[in-house]
Amino acid sequence: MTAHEYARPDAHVHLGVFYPAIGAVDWAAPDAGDQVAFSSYARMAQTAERGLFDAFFVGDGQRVREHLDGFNTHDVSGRPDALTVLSAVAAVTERIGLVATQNATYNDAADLAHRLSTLDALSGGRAAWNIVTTDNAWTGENFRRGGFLPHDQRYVHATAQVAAILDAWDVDPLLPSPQGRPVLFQAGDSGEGRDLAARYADVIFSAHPQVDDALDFATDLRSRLVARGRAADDILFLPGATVVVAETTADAHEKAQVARARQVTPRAALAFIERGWGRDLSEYDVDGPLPDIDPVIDEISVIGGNVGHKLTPQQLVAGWRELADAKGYSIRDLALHHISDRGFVGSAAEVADRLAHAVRSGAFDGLNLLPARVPDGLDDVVDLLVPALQDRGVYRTEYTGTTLRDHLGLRPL
Amino acid sequence: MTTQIGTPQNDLRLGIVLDGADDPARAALAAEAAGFHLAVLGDPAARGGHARPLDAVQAAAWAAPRTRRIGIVAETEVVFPEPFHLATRLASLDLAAEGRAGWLVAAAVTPERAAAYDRAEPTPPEIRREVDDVIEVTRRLWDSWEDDAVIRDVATGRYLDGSKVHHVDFVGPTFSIAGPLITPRPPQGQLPVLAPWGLADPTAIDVAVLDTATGLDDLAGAAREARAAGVGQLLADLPVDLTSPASAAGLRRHLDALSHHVDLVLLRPTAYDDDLARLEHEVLPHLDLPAATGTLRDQLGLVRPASRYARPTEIPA
Repeated sequence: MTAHEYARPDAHVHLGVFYPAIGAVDWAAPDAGDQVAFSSYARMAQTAERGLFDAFFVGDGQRVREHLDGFNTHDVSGRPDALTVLSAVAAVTERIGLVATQNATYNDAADLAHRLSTLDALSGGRAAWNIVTTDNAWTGENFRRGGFLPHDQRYVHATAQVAAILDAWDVDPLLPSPQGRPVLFQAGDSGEGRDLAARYADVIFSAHPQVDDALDFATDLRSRLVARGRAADDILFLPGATVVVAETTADAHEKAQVARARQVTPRAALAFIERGWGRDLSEYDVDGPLPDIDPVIDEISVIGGNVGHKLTPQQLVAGWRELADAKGYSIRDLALHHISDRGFVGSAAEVADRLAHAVRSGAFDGLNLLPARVPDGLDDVVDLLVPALQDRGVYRTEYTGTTLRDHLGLRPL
Repeated sequence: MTTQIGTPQNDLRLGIVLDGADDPARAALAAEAAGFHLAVLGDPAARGGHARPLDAVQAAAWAAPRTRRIGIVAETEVVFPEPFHLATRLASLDLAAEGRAGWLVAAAVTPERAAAYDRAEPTPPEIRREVDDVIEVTRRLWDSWEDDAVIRDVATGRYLDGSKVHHVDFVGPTFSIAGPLITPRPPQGQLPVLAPWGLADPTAIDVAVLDTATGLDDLAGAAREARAAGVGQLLADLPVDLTSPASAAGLRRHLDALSHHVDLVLLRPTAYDDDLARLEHEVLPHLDLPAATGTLRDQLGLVRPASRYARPTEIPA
């Protein structure tokens, strides 16, 4: 495809990194570090800043994940409060954006407005809020209000919270920021989630890193933006994705495979299917077929952090059986299959070409990376992929602005 | 404790409130260089218009990585916010400060704050109950992960030993919390807890903050009461104004007098940068202060406790 055929021939790739605190983290890797130590957060943020990333994201969780009768033990668990750790990260970085995932449901609007505004002031205008919602009563057991929010009200409530917070920033800016107010990220994929994004978000942290999917998603969002009186390019798209690069494509695939195999231990594979069956399955051989018994539960439990599971256990298990039959999968194979495949794996040159193509086509504006481990899981991307992107003229060679709005290229407020 | 006139106590520790400074990090670093043992970031809600409007825990987290030795104490109002969030944030501060964090408890109850949080304004006994409950649940949440909960056992595929993480199951009149905390055990295990004398259960806190406004005799009386009630350490809260030439010498004498009754003095400067310079050059060098070192618990002479939920290891017969 020649330059004049690209929708956005001069587009640059924006990169963010999400500190991996949950899910498929390669904690058993020999170089894996302490998940919660501040030094791990500092190291990863500084690496990202060395790589001229737009932003460093920290997630949020308000209840320790459980599994069957106990706690989820096979995944990493335990994390600091996002705004507290980011305030400390602000002190050891200079330019990189700092994105705090914060729950709209279990936070007081005035308190949240003040805390986000504090990060923005301390960091010199580098703060953002990644808006998420929770609605289950199980999480509510940690809070004064309890599980007060019906599932179908969560976006109504979140919209009201966002409006109140924007108002607070607008009406009473106790803490002036060079970027005006924190940037807003949003990640909902449902119709209501997309509407919330179309109303308020500056950046969509989406779930669609594959180009065709991404183009459809972007087209839909842009039409919602226009319907709300915003410009079609008022929003950036930054899908979440895993990226594994190495000198050669073969090395990259090997690296990815080794990490995946290490993550899918027998315990992890069994835990994966136990979610569907609802009971302990440790008597089954993970290298053997799926259990031929039925699930003992009627709905997927929320305690494992399974957000918005639309299938019944019976449907979930039926789907797994179909897949396992078609591919001759063992339990372990099935679990491996489901480790996030939202990935770009290859040599730095290959991945850089794909990303350049994607942003120039208008499919997305960049990626929000999820490294496999801390604290050095981003090193290869910074050492290998960033120079390859720079060589192709699709990536900055220095920060030209000081605020997160600057890095993202958002219109000034 | 009898007053020993003219015998300087050289185990006095000094703190300084950073609220008047422009940048909490620069201010904390300067205080550390001057020899202070701890720095306090005030809660804007508790201080009204007298504190910079930065969130105190975040300002403390911002100051923490720039410093090496000074204790970093964040003040938080506790009656209205979510106790689970407070516990998480303070544990996270201790991580950022690598074990040098502390918590100053405050209550700021006004009709406006109650209305903003959609609650009836609590009465004084209800405030006391709420404060005690928040301290209790926070301590339980800090203990909810035992120190060795994260095991990284590759052989069995377990990152975590699930038997070493605990629900706290706190049930109270104004809130209930299941737990565990989302953050693992803080570096200090339990952050030192400071509170104004009379605000909280004396045995639930580590340091009681005594008022100096009504004079030394009143303070000495309060100090005796607090020690009798079981408080471990006492801190005198002392506003300072170093504008007049004689004020540095006057402050040295005042600190000497206070040192017979309390373990720490917290200075509250009016003009931060000017006052700090005078403190550094004209006051602290005369006081023969011990060096700040280790965690804040170390500084306060507090042993690091194991989690209350930890079982002693059974040795098989």
